[in-house]
Amino acid sequence: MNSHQLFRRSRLRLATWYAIVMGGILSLSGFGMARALVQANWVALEREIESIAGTLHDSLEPMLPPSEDPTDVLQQIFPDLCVVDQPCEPNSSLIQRHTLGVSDRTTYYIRLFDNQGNLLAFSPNQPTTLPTTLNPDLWQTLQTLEGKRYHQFTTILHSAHTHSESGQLHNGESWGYLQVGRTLAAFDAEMQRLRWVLLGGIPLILGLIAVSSWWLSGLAMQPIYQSYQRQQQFTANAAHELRSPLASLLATVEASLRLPQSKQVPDPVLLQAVERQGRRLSQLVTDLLLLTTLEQNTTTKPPQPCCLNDIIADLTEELAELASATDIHLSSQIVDIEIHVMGLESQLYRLVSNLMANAIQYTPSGGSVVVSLANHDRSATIAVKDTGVGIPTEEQSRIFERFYRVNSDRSRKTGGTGLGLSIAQAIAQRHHGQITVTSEVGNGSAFIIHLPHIAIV
Amino acid sequence: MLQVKRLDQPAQEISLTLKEFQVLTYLMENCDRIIPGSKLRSQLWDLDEEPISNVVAAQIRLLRRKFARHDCDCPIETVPGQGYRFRTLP
Repeated sequence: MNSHQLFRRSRLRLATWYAIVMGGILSLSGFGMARALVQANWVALEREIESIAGTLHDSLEPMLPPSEDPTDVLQQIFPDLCVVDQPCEPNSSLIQRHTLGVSDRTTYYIRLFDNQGNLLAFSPNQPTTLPTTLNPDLWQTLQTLEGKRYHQFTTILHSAHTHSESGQLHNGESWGYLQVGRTLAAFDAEMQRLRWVLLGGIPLILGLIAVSSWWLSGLAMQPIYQSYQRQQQFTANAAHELRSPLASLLATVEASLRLPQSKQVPDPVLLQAVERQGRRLSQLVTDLLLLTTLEQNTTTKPPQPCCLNDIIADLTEELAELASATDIHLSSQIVDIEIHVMGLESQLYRLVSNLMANAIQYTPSGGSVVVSLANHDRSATIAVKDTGVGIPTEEQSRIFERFYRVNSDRSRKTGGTGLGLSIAQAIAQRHHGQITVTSEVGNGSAFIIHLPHIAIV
Repeated sequence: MLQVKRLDQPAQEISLTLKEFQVLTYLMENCDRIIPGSKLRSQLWDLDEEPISNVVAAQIRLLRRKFARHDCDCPIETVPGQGYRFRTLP
């Protein structure tokens, strides 16, 4: 069906846009989070290197030997270090490890330079490709041939001895440089893992978004589709309702035209039939227009205070004739105080009279219809109770639908256009009220209109 | 405008709407007869008019209130379930 395709296309479009927008937002925030995580790791790493370098620097400075022949002294301080131009034998006694002070030997390395930038000593585990000359940059990131990366921090060492013994010579000058480096293996592995999580996670998330957006757009389209179907049903019903009186109107006219020429004087019986059908049509169209006006909220008249007591008294009087025609006892119970509501009087008349006319119509002769007006804290209630045929529970929710008739009886016998309760409900809703129904098959029904009242002294 | 003259009082004027006037006139033309509301409606109202104005009872009520405001007895009486009557005889 064409409309199905239309709705399907709209749904697809909605889902696509939803998926694009949500996917974009989630991907962006995912990348942003990853970036922030990497940055935080990096900062933590640098802080760690810096603090280790600081500790080493602080504990080294007081023990630094005078610059003439530092290597012996250095080996005493750092027994673990290899000294340049000497064979390097990794010595691994526990005590020596502790003296180095760097907990994980495989992670960190240190290098010592004199103040000319010549390498004096280094840890045996330093990257093999490092140059023997000093690069005095504060932070450096190095990469070995095998692809291992290192991050390295350089700090200046000042000698305590030179200061105290021959201050005039070396005042303010540096003894040398200390470099502390750390392998980035763990950091890189973390980065790699993050990249995999993102690469694997994002398509998964996008798939989930696609599925859920399809589902959500279906959910969003459902009320539109339902109201579209209701509208279609309404159009079909309206056409059906308009066709029947038109058909009988045409049949009447045709029958009168077929009469022999001599008898073609206007026949009052036929004309009355035509008038009746015409009125029916006119009534139906008027009701449809009223309903449309009510639902589109287009009336421009300002609401005024309306006295419900008067409305009910008038309508009871007005409909007494209709009720007595079918031998129904119509009575009203009205409270003594006047109850006013804000609204359009003509619409309120219509609201109450629709319910009363319904009650009279669906009550067999000999029954009774009671209209009562009561005042409550916040609202006024108008109850229309009858001893009529009643409405089955399963039908009660549908009686306010346009053209809906209980027992699917579309017979003209019961009169009405099938719009009475729809109009009543539309009016009640426009006046910020509602209509409730209680009914029992065989025992009659009670329609109660709740309307917010205004206090008038 | 309707002029009301009572024997013992000076004349007064009561302003009526067109519909009220039509209802009163129709009932006076058919005085002392019971006129059903449906008859009044079919005689005096078009189908397309607003619901409020074709509620006969509302017009009768308005008429009665106007009479009461001018301290006049309303000569229109309601015969429950049958209709309205303009009484000329006491």
